[in-house]
Parts: sequence; structure tokens; C-alpha cells
Amino acid sequence: MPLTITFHSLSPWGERKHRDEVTTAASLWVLAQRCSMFMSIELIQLAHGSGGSATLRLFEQVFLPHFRDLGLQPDNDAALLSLGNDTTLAFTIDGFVVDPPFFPGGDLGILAINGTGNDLAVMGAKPLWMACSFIISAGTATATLERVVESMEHAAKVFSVQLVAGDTKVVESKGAAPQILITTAGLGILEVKEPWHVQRIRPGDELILSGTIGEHTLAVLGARHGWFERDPVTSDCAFLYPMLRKLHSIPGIHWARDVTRGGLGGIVNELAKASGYGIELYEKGIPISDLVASWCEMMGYDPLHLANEGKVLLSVDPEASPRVLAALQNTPLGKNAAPIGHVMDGGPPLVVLNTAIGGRRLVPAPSGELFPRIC
Amino acid sequence: MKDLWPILTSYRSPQLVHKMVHAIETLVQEKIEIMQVCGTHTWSYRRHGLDSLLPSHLSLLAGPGCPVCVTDQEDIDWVINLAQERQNTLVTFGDIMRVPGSTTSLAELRSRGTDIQIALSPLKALDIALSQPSRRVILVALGFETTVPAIAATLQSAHRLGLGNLSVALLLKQLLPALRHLFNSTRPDGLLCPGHVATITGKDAFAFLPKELDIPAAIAGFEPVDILMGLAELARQISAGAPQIANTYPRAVSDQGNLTAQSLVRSTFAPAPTRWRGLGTLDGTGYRLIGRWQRFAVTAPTDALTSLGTSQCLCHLVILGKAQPEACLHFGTECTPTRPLGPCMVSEEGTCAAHYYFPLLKPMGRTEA
Ligand code: SF4
Repeated sequence: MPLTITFHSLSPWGERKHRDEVTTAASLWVLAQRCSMFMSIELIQLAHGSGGSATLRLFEQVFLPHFRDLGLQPDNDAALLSLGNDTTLAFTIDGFVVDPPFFPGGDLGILAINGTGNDLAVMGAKPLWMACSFIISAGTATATLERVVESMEHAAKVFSVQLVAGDTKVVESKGAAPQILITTAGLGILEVKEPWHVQRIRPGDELILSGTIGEHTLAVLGARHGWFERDPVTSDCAFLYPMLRKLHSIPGIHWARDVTRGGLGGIVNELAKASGYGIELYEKGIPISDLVASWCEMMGYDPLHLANEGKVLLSVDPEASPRVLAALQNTPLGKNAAPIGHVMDGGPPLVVLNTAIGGRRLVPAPSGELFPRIC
Repeated sequence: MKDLWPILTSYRSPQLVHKMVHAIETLVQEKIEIMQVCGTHTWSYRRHGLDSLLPSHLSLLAGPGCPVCVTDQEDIDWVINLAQERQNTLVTFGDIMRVPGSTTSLAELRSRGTDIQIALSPLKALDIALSQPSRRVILVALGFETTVPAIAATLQSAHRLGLGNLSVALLLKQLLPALRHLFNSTRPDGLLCPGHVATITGKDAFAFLPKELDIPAAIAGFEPVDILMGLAELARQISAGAPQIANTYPRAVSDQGNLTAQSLVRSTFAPAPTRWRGLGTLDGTGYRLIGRWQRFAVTAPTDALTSLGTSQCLCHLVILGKAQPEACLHFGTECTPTRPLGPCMVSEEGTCAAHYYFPLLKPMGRTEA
């Protein structure tokens, strides 16, 4: 039986009672992660794009071996490129496809601007320029494309982003419903003195979340499956720079990340993995609306694994935490900001959740496509 | 919709949980084993971290209450074969998509372009059949007593609409009679019975458990406080040595159950033998269509398909409470929710998935391979 490996030396995890549980769990978990790394991927499935462990495996098996020596900065949302004259650029790229392209609270076009803008903003940079590429399948209604492009125009103007280059390709739709895929690359200038970078995370850091979780996935699924007759869930899709700019002058912010694909659970697991520290979360502290929580209960989803498009998670020095919280709560996007946990001293790099009823459990990285449950 | 959450949180009160845990601790002095028949109990129990609160000598065994997990390998292969017939559009619930058949899974077929649709409600099959009259739409009907009325209602609507292109692949099962068979070979100290099944069947339908099989039984809901109430009741019965059927979920379950649903089911189905993973073919635990509803049936081939099966998967033991997932060599290594080897790792109600997602562990034991 391969499950008897224990990592007793790994970490002082809270009280002793919990420590044993967690170390046993840790050994299992780490083993599981390792073993799954060696399994080959024969066919790309939807799960490989979900932002969970399958995506990670695809990245580590297929991309990393080839791109590792080419300057890849895999642990952050955007790469930082120093020009040597006190100017540092933040550079990123992201692809967007969503079914349906229009949903309560947003659409594909807004996502394409916001998503890339947010990847720059969470580094402490101001998003300035973007380039976009459209892959459109034959059969797409021109009116649909126009609506998407109009919303991109609107979003870019509101947030003073210049769309400076673009490209269009049309592909066969091969029997599937026609789709539009937008890729946007973004360039920004770093505005914070010390970039918000995963390497700056310290044990004891407080984790602050800028608002409620789960809206985006539910809005899209609801629009796709026609769930909402009344009380639609509205996507939280938002451009985060105006909120994050208010934090630029506060020292002690170590890291920030927009909580998108993979949800809070996915992002926090990535944080644990990239920083090498364990993370402790408090379920009670995690903001969630009654509506989203109710839908999750109905559909059997764990809200920790639902995507958001307008939320940021920050890891901050505990001394800076009250200032950061106050600054966030003063902005419209951050009014529900709350402290939700902290970075533990040492590993294993796992996420423990203190449940609302007073229990404890691990939060796994999401593993694949979300399927509604059976009964 | 948003009102659901405040109601649920009242069953998640930490103070109440604390009190109940204390009560259970006092009642459970020696080792007892309780079977959670239904996967939803296992899931909720782990998700809320109840296992980190309860005494370690109270151990919980999984039971056969996850519809995907108890579906026989041959039936999985049958459904996969149906999906591959070109004229068919398969409509299924989400969970079965990733269950590996002998050669492929529905999810894999779908990513290669096979026409398979995921439905939240069986009624979606009606829409699909109406909008695509040239396709033969097959609804994969999978589930227990809880799901059966919805399938009956779907067929009645299909009949009213005069739909000629809709059929059902029947994989429905009756959990209650199956429990009799199960206890020939497993003997837990008590049984935590599924509240949603009881909502339809009523409490009285469970009375044979204490009466004929001498097993303490409690019908419980799925919120943390509900589960603890069920466990406390079982602990009480066990320590008193007086098996009963207790209803700790009276806000949803009555003595007689939902009579309308029951008569709808009786007018559409009759009991029939069906195959269970790990238990074989059991009389009276499945359903067949009767009367004018028979025309909707797609019947499984009588000559059994040759299933290679996933022979090293222990699901057939896990669903009978005879092995814990951690005892399986593949658990968490070759078998994960992304690449499940067996159905217990697929479904949200599957024990292996619950243990994988929420791996706060107490030492695991008990394998009777
Ligand atoms: S871990 Fe996987 S292979 Fe093992 S019993 Fe569970 S489902 Fe089957």
C-alpha cells in the first residue's frame, strides 16, 4: 500500500490533534499530486481547461518542458520586464471563450478587456495597451460579433486602455455551434515600488478577499441552461485597476491575484504550491451572497470552486491589513472585502478550511469540468 | 431562491453542532460502526468537517446509496454503446459522464463530438426530442426512489405530447429492497437512512429494518445538524439495545410519504430484477415499464456484453461498506476525479470522491477483499 508515507517533519500545523490528521492527509495529497504528474494525457478534454489540477498537469507535461528556458515566469499572472531605467513593464496574454457570449452582468467582449487588464492590475501595474486576436468560426452571426466588439470598445474607453493591434482568423465550425474566441495581450507599467509577487509572501500574512464569491460561474451556467426565471445571478465581471490603484501607496502588500478560473479554492491552492506555505481559511469569513449560496446548495457546487471575474485575493503583512481592508471597503468593488485566512508557518503546501460549524477539512484544488449533480 | 440559504444556515449553527457532538460523545462509549446509506450524507459529513469533531471510535461506512456507483459495469457499457449509435442523442445526468466503461467514457465520446447532452432535469429530454424530431432521443434514467417519480412524469408528458422519438434506458433502482440483500453479508451497528428517499416512500417503508433485520435505523436530512441528530438517535438506540425506525427529518418526511408520487410510479412501473455493482442481479430492486408506457423502453441486450471491467477497482466493496477508499491501491494516484477508474471517484455522492476532496483523515481500516 503506497499510502503509508508520512511527512511528520513537515510542519507545525496548529494544535497537535489536527497536526496528525493533516500530516496524514498531506502525505496522501502530495503523493496524489506527484503520481498524477506522471500520467500521460492522450486526449485533451474540457477538464484540461478548467484551471484545476488537470490544467496544471497539461501545463507541466506539455508546455513547461519546452518553454522553461525561454524566460517563462509561470507563478504570476503577468510577466515583469525591467527596462533598466526605473521602468518595469507588466506583460500578459489570455484567451476568452464563453458559452453563451452574453450573460447577466457581462459578455465575452467585456471579459476580454477586463480579464487581461486584471492580470496586469494584480501585479501592481496600470493596464495601458492591448492587442487582440479573434478566431471566429464560420457561421457566426455578424450581429453577435458586432455586439461583442462594441462592448470591447466601450470597456476599453471607460478604462482608458488603448487597443493598438489586432488580427482575425475564421475557422470551420466542424458541426459544433459557432463560437468566437478572443485572445488579448496586455501591456502595462508597474506603479508599485515593490511588485506584488508570490516570492514576497511570508508566514503570518493575512489573506484579504475583495468581495463575494461564485457569481460569474453561476451567471454563465444559468444563462446557458436557462435556470433563471427570476432572481438571476449577475456576473461580478469588473475591471479591478481603479480599486487596486487605491492600494498602491500602502506598504506591506505582498501578493495579489484575481480569483478567476478554479475559484478561490483553486487560487489558494496555487498560492500554497507556489509559495511553499500552508494556508488556513475561515469559512465564516468568506463573503458569499445568499443567492449564490442558495444556488450552490441546489446544484451541489462548492462555491470555493466557482469562478469570479471581479475579485482579488491579497496576501498582506498583518500590520498593513487594517489599512488595506479599509481602503478596499471604501471602493464600490471592494465594499464587501473581508479577511478570510492567513499563511501558515511552513508546509505542507495545503489549504485547511475551518468550516462554519467548527470542523476542519482540506480544500482540494478543483479537478475538472463542473457537472451538476444527479439528485 | 435566495431564501434557501438562511434556512440552511439555521441547520449549521456551531453552537447546536457543539451540543450535539457532546451528546454523541457521551452516548458512544465503545466502537460502533454506522452505515451512511446515501452518498450525500458522506459528502456533507466530510465537507463540513464533521469527522474532525466526532469521537474516533464512531466509524462511518459507505453504503450503496450513490446511483452512479451501484450501476453495473455492463450497464455503463450498454449506455456507452447506445451513445455510439449514430441516430441517437443521449440525454444524461452529469454524473455518469465520466464513469469509465470498458473502453471509453461518455465524457470522452462527447469531447470527440458524439451527441450527448447533460440534463439537470429529465424534462429537458422532452425539449430535445421536440426540437430534434429526426433524432432518436434516449434519456438515461438513473437514480433511486427519489428520481423515479420525475421519470414517470416525463413519460406521461411525452405521451401527452405524442412524442415518438423519445425513449428511456432504464437504470432505475429501488434502494429499500436492496438493503435486505445487503445485510445478508454486512452488519453495521446502525443505519443512517437517506432523507430524500424517505420523502417519497415515507418512514413506514423503512420499518422492516428494525422489525425484521433487528438493525437500528434513523432517517436523517443532509445538513450538519440533521446528520448529528440522526447519529445521536442511532447512538441512543444502540446503547439501549432497542432497534427502532426513527424519523429525525420530520420537516420533510412523513409516515406515509408522498402518496401522489407513489401512485404515479405505480401506474407507470412495476418491480423487476436489476443488476447492481457488487451485488449481482437482485429480484424486485429495479423497475420495468408497464402498459402503454412500455413503448418508451430501450431494453438492455439479454446476452450480456463482455465487459472487461476495471477489475482492480474496489468500488464494489466500497459501496457495500466493506472497504474504505484509502484501501484501494489506485486511490489518489491513478484514480482521481479528473481520471476516475471507478464510479465512486466520479460522482459527488461517490465515497472515493468525497474522501479525495475532503481528505481530513482518521486512520482507515477494514478491508474484506
Ligand atoms: S479509488 Fe478509484 S479505483 Fe479505487 S475503488 Fe475508488 S473509484 Fe475504484
